[in-house]
Amino acid sequence: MHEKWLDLIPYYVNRTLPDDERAAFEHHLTTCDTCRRALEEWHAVAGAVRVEVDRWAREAPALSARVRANLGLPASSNGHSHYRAAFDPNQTVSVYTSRRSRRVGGRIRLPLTLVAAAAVALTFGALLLYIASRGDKSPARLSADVEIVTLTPTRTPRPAVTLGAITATPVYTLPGPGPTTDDLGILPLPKTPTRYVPPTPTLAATPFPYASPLIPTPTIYWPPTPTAVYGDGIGIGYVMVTTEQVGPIPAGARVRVSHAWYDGSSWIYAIMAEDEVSYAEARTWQLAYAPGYTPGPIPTAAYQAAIGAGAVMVTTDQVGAIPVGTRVRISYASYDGYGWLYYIAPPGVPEVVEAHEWQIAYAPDVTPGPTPTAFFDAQIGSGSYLRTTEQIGAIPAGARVRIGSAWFDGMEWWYTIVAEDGITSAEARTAQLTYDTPPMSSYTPTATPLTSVTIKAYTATPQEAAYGTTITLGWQIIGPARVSIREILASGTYGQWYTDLPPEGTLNVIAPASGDSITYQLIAEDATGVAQTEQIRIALHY
Amino acid sequence: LAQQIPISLSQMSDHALIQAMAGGHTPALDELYARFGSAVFGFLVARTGNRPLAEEVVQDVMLAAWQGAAGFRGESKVLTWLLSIARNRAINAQRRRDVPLVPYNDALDSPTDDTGPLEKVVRSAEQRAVREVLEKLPAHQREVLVLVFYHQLTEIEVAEVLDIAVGTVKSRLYRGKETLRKVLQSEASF
Repeated sequence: MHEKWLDLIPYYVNRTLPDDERAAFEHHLTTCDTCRRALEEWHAVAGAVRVEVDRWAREAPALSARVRANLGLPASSNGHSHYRAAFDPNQTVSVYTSRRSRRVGGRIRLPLTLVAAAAVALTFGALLLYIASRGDKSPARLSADVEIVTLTPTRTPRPAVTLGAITATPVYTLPGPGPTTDDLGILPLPKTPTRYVPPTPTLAATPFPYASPLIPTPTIYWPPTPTAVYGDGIGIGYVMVTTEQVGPIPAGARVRVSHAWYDGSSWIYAIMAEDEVSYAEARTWQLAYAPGYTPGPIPTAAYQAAIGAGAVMVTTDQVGAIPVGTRVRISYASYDGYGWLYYIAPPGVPEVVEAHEWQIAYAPDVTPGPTPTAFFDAQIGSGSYLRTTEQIGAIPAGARVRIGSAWFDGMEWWYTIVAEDGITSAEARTAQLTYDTPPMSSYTPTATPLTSVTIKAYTATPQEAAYGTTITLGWQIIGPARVSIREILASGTYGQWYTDLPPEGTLNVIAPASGDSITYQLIAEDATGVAQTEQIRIALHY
Repeated sequence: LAQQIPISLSQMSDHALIQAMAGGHTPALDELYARFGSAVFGFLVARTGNRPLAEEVVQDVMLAAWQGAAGFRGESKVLTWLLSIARNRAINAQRRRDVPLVPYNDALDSPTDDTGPLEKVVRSAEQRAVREVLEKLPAHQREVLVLVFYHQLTEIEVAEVLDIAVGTVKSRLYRGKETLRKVLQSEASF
């Protein structure tokens, strides 16, 4: 019985236990010293692993030229060239804010909220601390006689930082439920390498929601971890200054706090100077908020409603290469500790430019308001089917379609829809779609071809094949722009996809070594992506 | 028709992103890499213990993800799907090149006399302690610890990614912890 609990602990620590098991385990913890000790050990292990892997992960390379060339992508990703531009030593604040805004993971529906959250969360730990310390409002003040010094780069920045493409420093945000204060215990390893200090106990933070009326819950007191004084200063740029020399960083230097941890007696802040090289670990009294910085919750962006809402803004100033009076959209925004920065571009231009609030305004014909929620919001990317109410592109009325993605053009929502064949796609408005209802006709992709592509012949030899033997596929197609053949295994999953085939030709494929059949789907697309398909099913045997 | 604005990519769910890739939308791959590149890379370093190799394999993984996007059925998390690809690609790369498993710190810590501030940071006592502890683990224990505590996978997901039995996940996890605990305790006794 006890083994069962011990097996659960790692997954309690990594927060993947289902609610009922978690509650039951927490209840069990109140009476079990063995499990509590094991829990502390696992917390220490988890903290060590996270800190170390996070460090490796931060040094992930950019997508290589080889991959980009393979896909026909430009050497540096379009739409993200601001990363390169941003790596100007004089603009380090924006560098970090823009990088952080890339750290958003998972499903996102409210860009600003997440950008704001991401702007705070330079590290996972920073986010925890930030959340944990929102209530704390007792910042130390910088004494007036501290001189602000600026550190200049003394060596080439790390390669992962200078590459500049979108992939320059992709940092992975841990998936899963949002962090809470009881995560504080799984922050980095004990400070001194020679002494093992168990992490701060975490149970006091969450009261046990699971109390049986029959078994009285014993009262256990654990002192709560105090919140970090500079919780609001973590992860949001160079908003702190040193009050004395800390390691290699002189007094009065602007620093950012990358993360902080509690060593059992006080908070320690990992600080990085503006040269992005000088690093030190500071105690509370060695730091103060920088002059001009007001700690507190992140204010709302003035143009929050315009983010992702299409070209509803106009420049009131020359911004980078964009002249004054140009209509622009806001791709996203980030907060650097002082104000919001907006990443803007004219319609159709992928490269975004960083703009301050005063450099843009709503276009005269635009009434600002929140972006409405897409009508089919829950269906986006969910795989559930809708039906078309009218012919849309190559997809006839009444066809079952799925929504791959959606966007708001400033006026209304558009949906990228994909028909049941998984290939034919179109862009639909809300009114052109309806929830799936059974009586409507089923869509067969070949029913209404709106394309000049014709499959003249598609053959397979032999018609039945032994496992692992060669099958020769032959085809002849009139007028295709792209030809490919996709394997559909007996299980219904896709196998190999042979692409870039000629309009007419043969292909030798190897029959799989299992399953009772395999289907080869010939896909002939015209230049607009409208496809004709044909399938051949081969029975398989020993 | 309105232009497809970049924000829509970052708004997409992970699964929708894969669908976009299957539809040939190349910027989706960039977005995918931004979301998961470092996670995949972290796993590869843990698994191979060889950073240059991990740097190369992570590129293979993204290419394979692009090519296999249409075959992704959405039954698993995108992260576990990518990690499964990463595992397979790492095996292939190691087999192809006959790369032995070297302790990963050899690859990370190239012998250099550069003692600039960054190196000082890297060599700070605390970080060295963490690294030395992790480096003492065999790769197969290390990767399980990493998948559980860094990638936050469930036991079943770890088993799927590594293509091993759930019981094996359990035993590797425990042995990994025991190794770590011994090291931590021996350090505490100094």
